[in-house]
Amino acid sequence: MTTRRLPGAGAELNRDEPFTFCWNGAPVAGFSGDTVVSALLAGGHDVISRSMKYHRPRGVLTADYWDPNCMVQIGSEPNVRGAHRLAAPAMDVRAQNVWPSLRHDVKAANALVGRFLTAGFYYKTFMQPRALWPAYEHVLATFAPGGSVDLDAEPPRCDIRFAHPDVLVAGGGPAGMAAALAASRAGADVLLVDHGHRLGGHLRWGSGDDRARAAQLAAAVRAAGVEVLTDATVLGRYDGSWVGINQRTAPGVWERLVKARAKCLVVAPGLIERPYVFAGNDHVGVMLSGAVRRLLNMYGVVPGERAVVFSANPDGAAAACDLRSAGVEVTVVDASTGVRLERVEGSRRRAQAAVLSDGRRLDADLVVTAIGWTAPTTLTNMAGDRPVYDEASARFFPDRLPPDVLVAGGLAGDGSVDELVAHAHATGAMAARRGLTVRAQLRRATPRADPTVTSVPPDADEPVPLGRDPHPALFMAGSHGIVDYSEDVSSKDIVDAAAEGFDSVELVKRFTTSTMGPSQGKLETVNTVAVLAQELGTTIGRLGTTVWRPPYAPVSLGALAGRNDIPRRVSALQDWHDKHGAVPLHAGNWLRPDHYGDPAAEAANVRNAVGVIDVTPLGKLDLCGPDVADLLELVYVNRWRKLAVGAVRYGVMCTEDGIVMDDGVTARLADQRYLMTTTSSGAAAVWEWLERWLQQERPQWDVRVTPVTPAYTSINVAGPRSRELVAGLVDDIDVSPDGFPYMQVRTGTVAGVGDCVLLRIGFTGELSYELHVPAGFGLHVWEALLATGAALGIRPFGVEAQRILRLEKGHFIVGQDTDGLTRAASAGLGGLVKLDKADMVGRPELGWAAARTDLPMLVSILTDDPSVVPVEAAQIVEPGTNAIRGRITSSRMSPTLGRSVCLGQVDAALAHPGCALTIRLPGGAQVGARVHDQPAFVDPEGVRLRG
Amino acid sequence: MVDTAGPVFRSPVGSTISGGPLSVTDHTDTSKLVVHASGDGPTAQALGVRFARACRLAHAGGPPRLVVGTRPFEWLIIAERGQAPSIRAELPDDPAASVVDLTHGRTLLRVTGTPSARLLARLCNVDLSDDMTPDLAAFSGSVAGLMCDLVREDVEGDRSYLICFDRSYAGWFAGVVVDAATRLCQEEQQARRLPWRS
Repeated sequence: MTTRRLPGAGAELNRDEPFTFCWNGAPVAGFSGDTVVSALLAGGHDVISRSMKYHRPRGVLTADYWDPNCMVQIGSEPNVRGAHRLAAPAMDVRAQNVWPSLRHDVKAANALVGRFLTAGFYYKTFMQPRALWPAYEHVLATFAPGGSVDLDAEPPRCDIRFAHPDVLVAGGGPAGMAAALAASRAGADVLLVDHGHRLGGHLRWGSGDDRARAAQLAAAVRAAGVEVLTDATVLGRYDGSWVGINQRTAPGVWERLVKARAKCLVVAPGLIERPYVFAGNDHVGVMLSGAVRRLLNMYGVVPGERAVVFSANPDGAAAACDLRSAGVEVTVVDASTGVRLERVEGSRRRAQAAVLSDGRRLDADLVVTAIGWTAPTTLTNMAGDRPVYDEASARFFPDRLPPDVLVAGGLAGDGSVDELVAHAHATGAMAARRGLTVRAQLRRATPRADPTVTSVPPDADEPVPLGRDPHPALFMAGSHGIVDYSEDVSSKDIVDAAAEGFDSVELVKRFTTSTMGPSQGKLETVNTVAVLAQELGTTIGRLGTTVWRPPYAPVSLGALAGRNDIPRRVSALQDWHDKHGAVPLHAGNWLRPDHYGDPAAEAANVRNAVGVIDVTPLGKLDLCGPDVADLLELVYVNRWRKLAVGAVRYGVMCTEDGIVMDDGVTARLADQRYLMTTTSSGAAAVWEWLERWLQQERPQWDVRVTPVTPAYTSINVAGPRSRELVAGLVDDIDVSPDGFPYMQVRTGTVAGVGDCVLLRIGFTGELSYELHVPAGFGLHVWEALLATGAALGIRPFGVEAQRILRLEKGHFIVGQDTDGLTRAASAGLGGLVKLDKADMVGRPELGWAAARTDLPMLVSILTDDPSVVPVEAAQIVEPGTNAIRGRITSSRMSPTLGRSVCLGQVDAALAHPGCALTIRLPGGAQVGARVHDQPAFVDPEGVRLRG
Repeated sequence: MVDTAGPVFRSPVGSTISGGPLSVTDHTDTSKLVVHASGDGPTAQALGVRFARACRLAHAGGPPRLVVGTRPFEWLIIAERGQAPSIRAELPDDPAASVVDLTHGRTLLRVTGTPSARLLARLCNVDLSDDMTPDLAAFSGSVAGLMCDLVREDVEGDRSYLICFDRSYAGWFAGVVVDAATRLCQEEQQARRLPWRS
C-alpha cells in the first residue's frame, strides 16, 4: 500500500469521531472532516476512477474541488466531486461508468481501438449505415461517462434566496477575507462566498503559521458581521452585477441558489495550479504540489513512499519539505535548471519511475509537479474583460474592469501573505466606497426608501498594484500527454486538430472537447492554448483564451429550478367540490370541477331541470369612468355606445391583425360603471390589453380598470327551472320574464348576501342566470342554492357537462375552436363586426377579411354514423389524396340528441350546409360527415334561452 | 347544510403560524378598497399619502385605517370589516376618482418577527434593508412567483410586513409562506447549534 494515514496529522480531522462508509461495497474507515477521497487514500485505495474514453485507471490529481479524476456516485447522486464532498457514516460510494468493477473494467478495451477514438471521432464515425443509428446510440450510451440517475428516488429539496449586498467577495482565502473585512469595517453590507468547507484558501494546507493566520482572519470576519457562505460557488456575474451563487451546504435543503444583486463585486478566487503535460501524466501517483500539501496537512494522508518533485516555484519546495517531514523519500528536480520531466513509467495501477530529459530514470511511486498557475479570470471575463497574457509571469491577468468589479489576491498579482492582505484590504475599502455610492444612488431613486438616510460613502485610496513575480513558462515536455483529464484529450489530439485546420482556440475546444468537461477549463485551458500556440508557431498572448461563460462550475438543474412551487388558484367552493366527489380539472393555474361522476347525466339534468356550476375563474374586470364606452367601442368589434344601464351585450375582441383574441359579455351597472367578463384563460391578457390601449394609445381617456376576478364567486344557474330557483333566493329583484329579460343585469341580494350582480345570459342554451356573489359569502350562496333547489331537481354540473351543453348549441370557445390564425369572419362572426364604426382595433384587417371568400370557416358538423365521436383535432381530408381540408375542433356525444355533435374548421369550399366531409380518425380509418345547416344542434331558435 | 344563522364570511387561508420567533397571521377579514384618482385632485389630498408610503389614519368610527400608496394614482385602504360604506361616504365627491371594494377579492397575510425580512428574502427579490424599505414603506413585488402589494408596518417594535394578494391563490400561497417560515426557523435553530465553521 503506497498511501496511508499519518498518525496525529490532519488539521481538518476530528479523530474522536471515526466512522465507516462503503466503497464499491467494501467498508472504508474515515474520520469526521475527511473527504471521501482522503479517506479512500488513507485506506490504501489509490485508484478512484477510470478515464472517460480509454478507461485508464485514474487517481488523485489535485485533491480539491476541481480534481477531474475523483468523480464518484454516492447513493442515487451521480457525479459527486469526491475530493471535495465530506465523507459521512454509512455513505454508499461507488465508482462510475465501469463494468464490472473499477479494478477490472472491461471498457478499458477501448484503449485497443484508441487510434480510432481520437478527438472528433464522432464527427467521422457512427454515421453509416443510417439503419444502425439505434445500435450506435445504444453503444455510445453504454460508454457515456458520468454516473446514473435513479428516477424513482425522491428528488431532493432545493431552494432559493435573494440578497442585496453592498459588496460581494468571491473567494475566501486571505485576500478575500481581508477585502471582506475592510469593506465591512467601512460600513458596507458584505457577503463572502467560498467554495471550500472553511474559509482560508491556500493557508488551510500551509504551515502551522499559515493555518493560524487563516483562523485569525476568519474570526475577524465573523466578528465584523460579514455573512459567510462556505461550500458555495459563485456561478456567474451577469449584467448589473447580478450574481448567482450555488450554496451546497444549507440546513434543510440539498442546494440553494442565491440570487444576489451586488453593488460591487470583488473577485478573489486565488490561483489554480496547472498540471504539466508529458507522457504518462495520468498515471495513478502523479499529482500537483497542492494536492500533496492538502492531503498531508489537511487530512494526514501520505500519498506515496518515494517521490520525485518537479518544481519551478516555492510551492514545489514546500511540498517536498512536507513530504520529507512525513517520512517520504524525496528527490527534487529543479525546473529552473532546464531539465524537463519527460515521462512517467508505471504499471496499469501506479507510477513506478520518472524519466527526465537528461536521461535519468528515478524510481518513484509519487511524481509531483509544481510548474505554475492558472488565473481563473472567469468572473472578470463575464464582466466584459478580456484577460491579457503576461509572458514574464506565464499567466493571464485581468485588463479592463467595469467600475463595479475589483480583483484581489493572486488574480491581481503576487506577494507575500502580508502584501496580498494589505492590497486586499485597500481593495475592500475601495469596494465599500463604490458599493455604498451605488446604494446611495438607489436610495435617492427609490420612492419607498428612507429619505432621511444621507450617509456619505467613506473615502478610499486606489489600491497600490501588486507586483508580478517572474515564472518559467512550463506547459509541456517534449512528449505527448493528457491535457484535459475529464475528456481524455491529449496534446496529440490538439496537434492533430491543428493539422486538420482547426486553428483557433475556440475551434479546437469544440472539435476536441478540451475544456468542456466538469472542470470547465480550470486545469486545461492554458495548456490547450499553449500546445496549440506551439503547433501554430504563435504565442499564447496572440492566441488568447476561449470566452468564459456561466456557470463557473457545473450546477444541478435542481438548484436552478429551486422550489417546485406551482401556483394553484381555487374558488371559495373548492372544498365543497372536493368533498362531493368532483374530479379535478387543471385549467392553467385554476383547479376546477370537471364533473361529479357522470357528466352526461349532469348535462341532461340542466336540459330537464336545473343545474349549478362554479364559474369563478371567469375573468372579470371593473371598468369605471366617463370614457368606458369609447374603450369598449375600440376593443370590441361590435357597437357599445348605446348600451343602456342595466343591459348586457356579448362582444368579441380581435387583435390588430384581425385574429379573434377573446370574447365575453359586458354589463352596464351604472352610468360610468361596467363589469366586463372575459374567458378564464384570457383574463390577464385582456387586462393587459386594455391597459396598453389606455396608457399608450389613449392616455387622454379617463377609464379605471380593476381586476375583480377573485372578488366574486361566480355561479351559473341553468335550466328550465332556474327562474324558480333564483326567485326563491332573491327578495329585491324582479326575476319575472318581463322584469328580468334576457341580456340584462341586476344587482341585489341573494340568500341574504348583498352587493350581488346577476346577469341573465346563457352559454348552455338554457334559461340561466350568472350570479356574481362577494367571494367570502360564496359558499353560503352555493349551499343555499342547493338546498332551495333540492325540490326542483337541482344538481351541480362541472366543466365537462358545460362543454357538452354549449357544443349542443354550437357556441364556440376561443382557443378551442379558434386558433392563432382565426379571423372573426372565419368564426362566423361576420354579422357581429361593424365595419362602419369610426375606429376599432383590427379594423383594416377585419375589412379585408370580410371581403374574402376563401377563408376557412367554423361550421357545425354531424357524422354520418351518430355513434362515432371523432377525437378533437382529427383531420378533415380529401378522400383518396388525404389532403388536409380542415380539422375537428370540438366533439362530444350529446345526451340530449343521443348522437355525436362537432364543430370544425374547414376550407371555404366545404363550408356550405349539407356539404359532405371525410374525417380521418387516428389509426387511419375514415368516416363520413356533413356540415349542419344551423350552428346549433339543439333549440336553434333559442326559445329556451330567451324564455 | 346551509348556514341558517346567515351568511358567514369565510377566509380562504388554510394555514398560519404563531407563538414562535416568526408568525404568519390571516387578516383577510378586513375591508379593502382600491381607490383610483388623479394625483392632484380632492381624493388624493384627502388620503394624503404619497406613492410608496403608507400611513395609519385615525378616524372617529373605530381603529385607524391603513392607507397605502400602492401605485401612482392608486391607493389601497385597509380597515376593519364593514367599514367600506363609511369609507366611501367619507371620501370627497370626485368625478375623477373611483372606489372598488376588493374586500372579497384580496387576501391579507401579516408576517411578524425579527426573521421576517429573512423569510421574505427566500420568496421575494426586493431589497428589504432598513434604508431601502423602512417602516411604512409600500411596494409591489413577486413573492414566490405571485404579484403582491406589501407594506412594512412594524408592530410594537417588531419587524412586520403585510402582504396583500389575489384571493384565489390564498390557500396555496399561505402554505408556501408558512412552509418557508417553518423551514427558516428550523434552519436558524440548527445553525445556532452548529459550531461556526470558519
